[in-house]
Amino acid sequence: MHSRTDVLTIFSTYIQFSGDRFDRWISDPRLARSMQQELLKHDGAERSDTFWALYWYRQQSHHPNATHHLWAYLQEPCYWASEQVARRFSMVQYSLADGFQIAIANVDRILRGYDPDVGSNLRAYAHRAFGNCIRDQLRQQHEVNISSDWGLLRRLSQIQLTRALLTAGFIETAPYILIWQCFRAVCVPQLDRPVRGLSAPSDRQYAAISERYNQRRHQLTSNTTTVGTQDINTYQLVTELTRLATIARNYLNPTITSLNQPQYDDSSEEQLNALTMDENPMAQLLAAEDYTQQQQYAKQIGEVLENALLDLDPPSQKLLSLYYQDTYTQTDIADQLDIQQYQVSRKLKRIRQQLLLSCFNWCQETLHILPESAILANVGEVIHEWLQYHYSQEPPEVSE
Amino acid sequence: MSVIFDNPVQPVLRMPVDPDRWQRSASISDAAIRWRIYLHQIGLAALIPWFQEEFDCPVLPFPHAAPFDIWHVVEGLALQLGEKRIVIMLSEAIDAASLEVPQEWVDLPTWRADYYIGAYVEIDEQRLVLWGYTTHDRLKTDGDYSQTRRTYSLSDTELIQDFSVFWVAQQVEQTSTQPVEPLLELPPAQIEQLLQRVIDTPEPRLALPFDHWGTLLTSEHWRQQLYQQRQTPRLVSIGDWLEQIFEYGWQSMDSLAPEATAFNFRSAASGAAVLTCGKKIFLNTAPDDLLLMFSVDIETDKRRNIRIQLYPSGEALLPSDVVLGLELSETGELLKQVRAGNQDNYIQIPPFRCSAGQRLRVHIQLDNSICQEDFIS
Repeated sequence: MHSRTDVLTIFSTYIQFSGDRFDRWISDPRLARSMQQELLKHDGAERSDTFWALYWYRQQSHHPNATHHLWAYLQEPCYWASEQVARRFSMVQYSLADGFQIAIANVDRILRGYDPDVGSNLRAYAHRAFGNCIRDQLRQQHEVNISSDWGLLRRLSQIQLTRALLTAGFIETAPYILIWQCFRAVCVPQLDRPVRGLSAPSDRQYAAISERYNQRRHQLTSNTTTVGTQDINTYQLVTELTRLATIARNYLNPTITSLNQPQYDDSSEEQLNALTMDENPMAQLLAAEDYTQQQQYAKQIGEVLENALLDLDPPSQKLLSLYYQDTYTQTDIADQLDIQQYQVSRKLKRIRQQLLLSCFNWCQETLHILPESAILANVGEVIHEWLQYHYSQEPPEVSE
Repeated sequence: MSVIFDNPVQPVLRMPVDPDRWQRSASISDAAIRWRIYLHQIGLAALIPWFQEEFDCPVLPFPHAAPFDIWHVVEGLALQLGEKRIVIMLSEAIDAASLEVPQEWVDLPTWRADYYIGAYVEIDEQRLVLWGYTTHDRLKTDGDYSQTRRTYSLSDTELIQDFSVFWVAQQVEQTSTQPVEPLLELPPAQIEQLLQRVIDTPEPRLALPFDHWGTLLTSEHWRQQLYQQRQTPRLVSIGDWLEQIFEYGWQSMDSLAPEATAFNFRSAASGAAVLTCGKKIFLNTAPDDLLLMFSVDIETDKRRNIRIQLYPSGEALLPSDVVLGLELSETGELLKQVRAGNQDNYIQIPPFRCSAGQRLRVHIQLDNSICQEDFIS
């Protein structure tokens, strides 16, 4: 893939795949027009893509195209995250394009999770978040594929089953959820056989499930609502449970269709035209100031981290550099440092905790932020991003 | 295999299967409850050492190491980490899409926690993964409350997934907590009624108004009553005692009453009894706990000589008219019954012989309050 270089295309084009490969960048005329308008408003000032990312992030609830611009912007981190997973987990049946589709569907979640206030960079944040989405999805698909129908039913969450039923067109989900709850209450794993291979219920268990269902149904029905229209017998139960397993499996193993463009509703076009729009120089000043401040925080935290790194002992420094270059598995790292694999993540964790504590202390003194988990998590993000950036800039010489 | 997909900031803990523990819970007849208790036990065994290694302050299970009387009705592992309380929710589900916490851990003033952690367990891989956490404030204000399930939920995007952050938060965060309603004060007779209403329902925690349920659940006495009475058949096995396995509430004589002589307790046979075991019995009509004692002489593999006695635990004398009875479990046929007078410091069913494997029931009754213990000789 060739990266986009000018701000206009970065915020107005989407990736087109040809099979499993990057084909080209497709321009969205509407986004291009909208971006051009904004560029004109900020004329004279050459702004970086980071500036615009923050700008559109802040505009999300004010500008009808802001989210779409971010969607375009996030194409690259999404592509690279997917590429990285494909490279690392080459033994898994998985293509780059699949991963891209899995990840890009999570843009909204990622924008919700992102917080720029202590200097976090959207691109870096999204890269990691996309990677996590793909890994998590692959883990789940793997589990689904190796589970028997009964094992799958056992290991569903109620949320998943509800979504699966809704996706399959069910309107009244309560009776099915209840059947499933009763199944889970009766069919528990056996210690001597894997849960994923859970076998079909015995006749006695079927009887227990239907008895429990009928009992619970009456209990729930007394409170103003009704669950199901009639009691269930064992024969119906077998049918329903088998159907539930199929519905769940179809839902969890979707055929991936291309989702790579946000759906426009037509009304936004008119809004856009009507919105040619606040030429308010104050707003532009504020946006510039916002950006400067974010960059400044990022820079200052960078300095704090730089010093904190110098305080680490050489093995810890080496561990960090190997890990954040992103090309070594934990086993490789363990080999290089001559330690056990489980010690890698443990040591890494300790170092990160230490860095987080130093950064946090600095933030508290300088920015007067509150010691709250949510804010700490943002600082944690900035540290990840900084380390990743830091170590990709200067690849250390690896001896041995 | 799935290890390769792990998120590097989420701790992965080893959670080995424990066939002994599983075997020991065989007396729990409800399969789902047995499984849930087992899962919480092995989860706790995996989590305690991890927390202990991570944090300098002492890590203790809350309210104690084996709260079966909580787990059989409410999910969630509670740990006391110094000043802070943490509740960990174990999920067997494949997805980690949301953290769902029973209202009990959020709204009961004596139970609520500072932090809530979501963990998914992979039984087959014998591991437990901590995937996200939140605070009481967040869960209470941003959490989605479900009326029908009585739970608060937060979706994965609203949880913090980096456990380095959790570690630092422990040290610097002032967990301000949202106010919760104080517990309702209820007279014992009313709690007894509530208890009777939920003994046979499939989901007792949803069967009463929450404030009533909370009052019942947070009292240790009533919680134990609920646990015992919901276990059917609640079989106490003398065979287990021989292997030092004691059902809930039963203890060896040494641990129950270190100064056994204070009870003027003598063995059934002329020699020393092989086994003396006891349990505190709570009747809400009695001013104090009573102590039910079994003394068993194993004559051969197949025959036992059993004596059953009832003592006061704090007072000098038994409440008058308290009744100790023995009947056959299957038929309910009364075999023997004794009643305390005004001046009795204990009463007893005289020693009797029976073969191993006999199912018997002891009842203790004072006025309209009754407690039963089923056992198998």
